[in-house]
Amino acid sequence: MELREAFVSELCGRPVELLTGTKRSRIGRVDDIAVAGSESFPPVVGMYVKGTDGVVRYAPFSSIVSITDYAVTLGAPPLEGSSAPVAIDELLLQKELLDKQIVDVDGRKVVRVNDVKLAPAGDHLRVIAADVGLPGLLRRLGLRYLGDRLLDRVPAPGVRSALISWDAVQPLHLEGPGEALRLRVPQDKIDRIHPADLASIIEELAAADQASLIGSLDEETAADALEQLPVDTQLSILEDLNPDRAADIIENMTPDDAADLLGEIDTDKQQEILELMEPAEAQDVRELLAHPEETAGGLMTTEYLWLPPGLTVAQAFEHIRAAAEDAELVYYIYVLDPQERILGVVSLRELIKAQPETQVADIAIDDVVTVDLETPREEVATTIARYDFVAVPVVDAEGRMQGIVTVDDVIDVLLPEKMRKMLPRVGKSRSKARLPKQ
Amino acid sequence: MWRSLLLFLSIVGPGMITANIDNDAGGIATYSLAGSQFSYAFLWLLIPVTVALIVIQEMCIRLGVITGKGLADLIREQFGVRITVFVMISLLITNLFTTVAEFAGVAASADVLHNAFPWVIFTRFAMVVAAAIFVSLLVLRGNYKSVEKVFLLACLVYVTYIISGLLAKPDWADVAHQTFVPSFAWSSAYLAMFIGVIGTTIAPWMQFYIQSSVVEKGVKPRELRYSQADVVVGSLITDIVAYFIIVACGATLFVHHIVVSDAGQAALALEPLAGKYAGLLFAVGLLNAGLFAASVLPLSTSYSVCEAFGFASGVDKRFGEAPIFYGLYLGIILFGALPVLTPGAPLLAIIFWSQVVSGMLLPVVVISMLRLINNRDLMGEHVNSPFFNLVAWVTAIGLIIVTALYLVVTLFHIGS
Repeated sequence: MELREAFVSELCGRPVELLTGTKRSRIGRVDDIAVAGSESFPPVVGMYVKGTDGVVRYAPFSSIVSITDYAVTLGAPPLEGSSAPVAIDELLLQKELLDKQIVDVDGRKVVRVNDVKLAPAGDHLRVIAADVGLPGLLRRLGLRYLGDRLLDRVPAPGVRSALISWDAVQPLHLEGPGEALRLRVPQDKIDRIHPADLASIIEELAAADQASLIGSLDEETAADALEQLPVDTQLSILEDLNPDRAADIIENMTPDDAADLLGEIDTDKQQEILELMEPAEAQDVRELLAHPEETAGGLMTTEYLWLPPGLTVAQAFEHIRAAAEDAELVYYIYVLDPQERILGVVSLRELIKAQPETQVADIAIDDVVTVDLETPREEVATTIARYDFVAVPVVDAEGRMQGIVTVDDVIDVLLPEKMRKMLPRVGKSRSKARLPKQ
Repeated sequence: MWRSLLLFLSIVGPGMITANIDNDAGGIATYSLAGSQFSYAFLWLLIPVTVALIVIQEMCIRLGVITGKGLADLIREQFGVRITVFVMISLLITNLFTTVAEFAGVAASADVLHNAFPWVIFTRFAMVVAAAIFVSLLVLRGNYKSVEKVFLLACLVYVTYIISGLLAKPDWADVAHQTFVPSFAWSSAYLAMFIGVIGTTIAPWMQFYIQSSVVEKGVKPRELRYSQADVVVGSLITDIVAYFIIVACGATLFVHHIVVSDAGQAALALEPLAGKYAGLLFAVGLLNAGLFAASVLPLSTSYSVCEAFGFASGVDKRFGEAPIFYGLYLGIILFGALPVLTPGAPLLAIIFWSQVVSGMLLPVVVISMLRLINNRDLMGEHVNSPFFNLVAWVTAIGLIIVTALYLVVTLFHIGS
């Protein structure tokens, strides 16, 4: 089989010939190219050929004799629609990929496909790259020469480099109005992206795609990404998810972020979701929801590490090992009495430094700085800043520990005004102060 | 019922804002010229134009709400690169010309203000440069939302046209007659005005803007009818103001055979209401109109183009991260302001002809929208009703025909 590199935009529309014996006859043009499979560089499995009679037929890859710059030659006539095998995960390059948006996993952003590059590898013709740059655009306009010359020059900063390797590409595909997004390629590509970057990618998508993308991720990744989004976007996505799925994702969020989000929706839906969540998680969130958002009670998380009194360092580690999975912060461990009053706090560093037989009580600090449930956010922030804490414990009127406020939850208060504007507004439903994205 | 009202008010925005920006410098100038040159002859046109405006804008919001994507996005995804290039070039042309019109409006208001207060700040040059800088900073610093409210409030100035129109005591029988009985003329001037009135009321850039607004707002399909109400109310408001601008100008300027060639004369239409303050009132309105639109239009254009071609965009990015976006934006402002700064530039003429160009290129956008909105794969059950299709097609084809007529009549000097 004679194969060579090709761009999808040039391949589509190319004449198709049928080779019978030694005779070649023109039977139509390439209408679309189908790839399938979950490999990083999926192979072409067939081509759709629009015959001279206007009917579109399917030519499996095995029937292709050669692909040259001038024509595609088939060894057998293409099959009628009804008998053509269509793989479940088949992707049509022209119809479903060209001009659509995809996620550039390495660049961590959403880009638009100007063209797709195919190259021979082994016995197959494979998709190897997406062309998202200016040269690709020019090629589509028939100005290929100009595009190639442009490639020779050093790309200006900010103008995208032309080709993205396909193993770093995550296609997005909308089935139809209001339908769910289907990720054509294995999700583990998306999982490589840091939740904060995933969040900025999600923000660049249209509203309908946002919910679909979140919905198709596994719960933990979805929760991580959702936590990073501004409240407006979170709410919009939440509205589009069914309550079961919403509950699954929310219970994987940290209780304080979950409470912030649930606090913004109306009580009926809120209760519905809380009831669908794991009871333990739901309980944590309910406790937090009882407090106003802008106070320590509303900001705190209940997932902290604590120890009963009288343990040795070795016993402490046993205790921590079991609880570390769910804790939001492992750096400070609080020593509590049976009534949950704080006896002391010990840092992970101290525990590691100490000998296993040492009593925790000997290395813990017993003069613990705390804030109250009603302490306003700014004061919590200044407390954290003043003592260079990573987190500060929150106590109720009786001095019982209720939770901790971690520095990331108040960091935006500490930043100068200018920088603060750039952060996603977690906790307040303020719309962004700029013109609509056109 | 109250809940519905509350929901309506929270959704309201895109339609109202677009409507008010619709009465930009181009609008005020075109309607003023229509009234002063043709008396009430164009009043009847406003009725079908309002219907067309409502239909076309509704199509845009429906496209935006159901697909969740902007118009430029959809055109690129469904029609490919070539058609997108064609549409975007058309959009760039009309938007650039309209931006020139907005700055011309600023300059024209400067003329009037300068007459009253001959200070340096009110020279054309100073005002236009100040406007360009003001608008750029406003958008790039992100304070737009707060100033938007000021702009909207200042749009109340247009009420003065309504009052003026009433105070001018026009021949109401004549007005009524011209409103409900269509008339037509074959002169080059008439045809140009015909296209201009449509082009300024249904501006191509507004369609991109309003669709992006509803997408940004995150309006859900079940909230669609609130956005639809928003569009209807907005369109009615804008065209009622247009109606009275024509009436006021017809009753004052036409009646006294005042040929309007600059803003000072156009301002006389407000004399019945404002007496010797007519000029100032008009200038303030025109200035507000020009600034408001100039804050929105160049940015909207840059976003649309970048969206279509996949260039990085957003005012939250630094210049180096989105060079084409910023380059386009500043370029439009620069080339919008420069023509106006040439000494002796015929401002009103510039403004008028920019709207005629808009009218000529409108069919490109409308036909693109029609192809999109009748696509069942895209819109599901929300495709256009036959009535909407009819109105939109008639508008597009009507414009094409009148444009052709205009070119023929002008090139071959037929008629007067």
